[in-house]
Amino acid sequence: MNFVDYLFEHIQHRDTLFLAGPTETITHRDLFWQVNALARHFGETYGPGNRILILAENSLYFTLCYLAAMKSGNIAVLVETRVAEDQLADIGALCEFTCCCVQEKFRPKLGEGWPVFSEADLASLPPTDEAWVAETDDDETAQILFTSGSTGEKKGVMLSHRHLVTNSDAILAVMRLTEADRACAVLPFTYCYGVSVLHTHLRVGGSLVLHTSIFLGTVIPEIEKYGCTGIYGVPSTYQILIHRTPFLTSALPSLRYMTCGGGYLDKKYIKTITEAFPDKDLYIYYGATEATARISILDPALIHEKIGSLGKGMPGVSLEVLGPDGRAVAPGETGEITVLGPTLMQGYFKDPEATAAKLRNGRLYTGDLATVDEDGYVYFKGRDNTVIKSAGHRITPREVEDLINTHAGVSETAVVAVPDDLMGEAAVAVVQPVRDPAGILHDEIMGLCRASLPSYKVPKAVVFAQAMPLNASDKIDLVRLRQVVAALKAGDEVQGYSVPRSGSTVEGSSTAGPARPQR
Amino acid sequence: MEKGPHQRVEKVFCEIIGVRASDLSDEISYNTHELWDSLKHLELVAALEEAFGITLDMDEIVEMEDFGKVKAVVFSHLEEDEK
Repeated sequence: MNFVDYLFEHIQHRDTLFLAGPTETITHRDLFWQVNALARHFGETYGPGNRILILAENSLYFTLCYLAAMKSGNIAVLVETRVAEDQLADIGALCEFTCCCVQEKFRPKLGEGWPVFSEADLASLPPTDEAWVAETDDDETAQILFTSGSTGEKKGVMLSHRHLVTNSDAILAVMRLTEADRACAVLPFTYCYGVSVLHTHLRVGGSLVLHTSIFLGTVIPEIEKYGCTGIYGVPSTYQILIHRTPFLTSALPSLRYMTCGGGYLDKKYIKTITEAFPDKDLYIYYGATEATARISILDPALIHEKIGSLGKGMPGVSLEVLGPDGRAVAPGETGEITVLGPTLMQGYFKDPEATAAKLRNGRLYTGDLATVDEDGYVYFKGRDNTVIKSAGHRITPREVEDLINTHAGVSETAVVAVPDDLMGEAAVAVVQPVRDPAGILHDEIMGLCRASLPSYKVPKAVVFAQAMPLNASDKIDLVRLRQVVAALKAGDEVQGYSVPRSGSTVEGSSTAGPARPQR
Repeated sequence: MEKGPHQRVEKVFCEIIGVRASDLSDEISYNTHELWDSLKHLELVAALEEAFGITLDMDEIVEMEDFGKVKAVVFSHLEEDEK
């Protein structure tokens, strides 16, 4: 079944709201006919089997273009709106888009000659009362989601109609959503966890409130005004709400549950949230784009008993934590999380080598480290140092390191993650300068990063090191560097390291001291 | 020499949002400036709080949607302090 036909299967005649505000509204019925009108346009203009780019914020425009692309038998290609221009150019060269649905504000990111279907084009589309049906095979590719690979380049995860139906069914089985559910959608639809909220609420005839404000704090009045029953966040969503807003003291009577995925929510925040909202459910999810969004879930009833756990596999999915010998680890031992199930991706688009490294023997190797307890509950223990997760986004250290190393004044760079109260994790660049650094070097490094990287990849801070610490295998000792950065952040001095401030000279911060030769 | 509050706000803003000082105007806004996103906004809030030793509440954070309003919010705190 075409995934979009599955989504509308039971709800296409309903005159109830699907988008309920704050700026845009549409009923299920109107959405169905508008999707059909646009699918007809795509089908008649391009035929099936082409790749259609969707580059837009959460909006009716995104929703229509995304659903119509798949309904017309084409492939919806999702790219985050913060994508850098050169990366988008690479993606364009790879995908050879037949059509680009791009919001006006992101048009400057596109190269010359891209075939754009704009918001104005959508507004002038003739209505239809005839359903547009495109024959699609369940195993045809429905969408490609671009996610950051281990070297920073974008990889396109290919998912079929069957994958999307199966994962949506699994989520609905555990969440028990109904037409009465209304989600506050704060996460971008351009990535798997965010867009899965759109899928599930559409399928059951529920609704969404699209949060797009300058500051996350406005979700509190939005939840109250629109009667949202659920909110879907990443760790930084909750950390920002806790630290910067009256979230914990808000009653939020309509809110039935919260979910957290896309990163590890520290136990202290789990306790804070569950103590403030004892009558609301907190669902902890673990997921990967390569497995069609959500892989495991911790039952809210066990949130205290199994605190810190990612839970167990979603219906039909099993997680196995394997040791270096390829066998399942014993309780308490650390290994790599692997996933078995019906929703593993078809592969990375035009990248069989990377696909073969990630999918082996019908198993997805996540690169995430974990332990398992006696009852089979999985506990996240860290990642190989290939990805930092900041505010739900993936930062690849190597990409940032390579960029900073292009500066003539830099000898070597290591980008490490440190826990951050608001962002979950933050990236800090530890830089070994060619000679004694001046504050100008700090400014130049930050300038370079801001000019070349999307905002979330720009390091939160630069630390100068007189020399990089090495481990037993003569590689940069990242464990040591993380400790150093955490200590500097806490206000301690660490011999051999300094925290520069911007300006023409290195100011001695009260914590770390100026960059001067240390004996 | 200690810089005045105007220059300090400008410096923090340009540095965080990624605007050249020569391009700065009160009209640069969240909705139109592509680099100014909600994450940058949080960074801006934290940097202003640190630079001026102030705490911004939720309504103020939401209000600061263009550079002119950023200045107005920050200065409203300074005037209180200086009274």
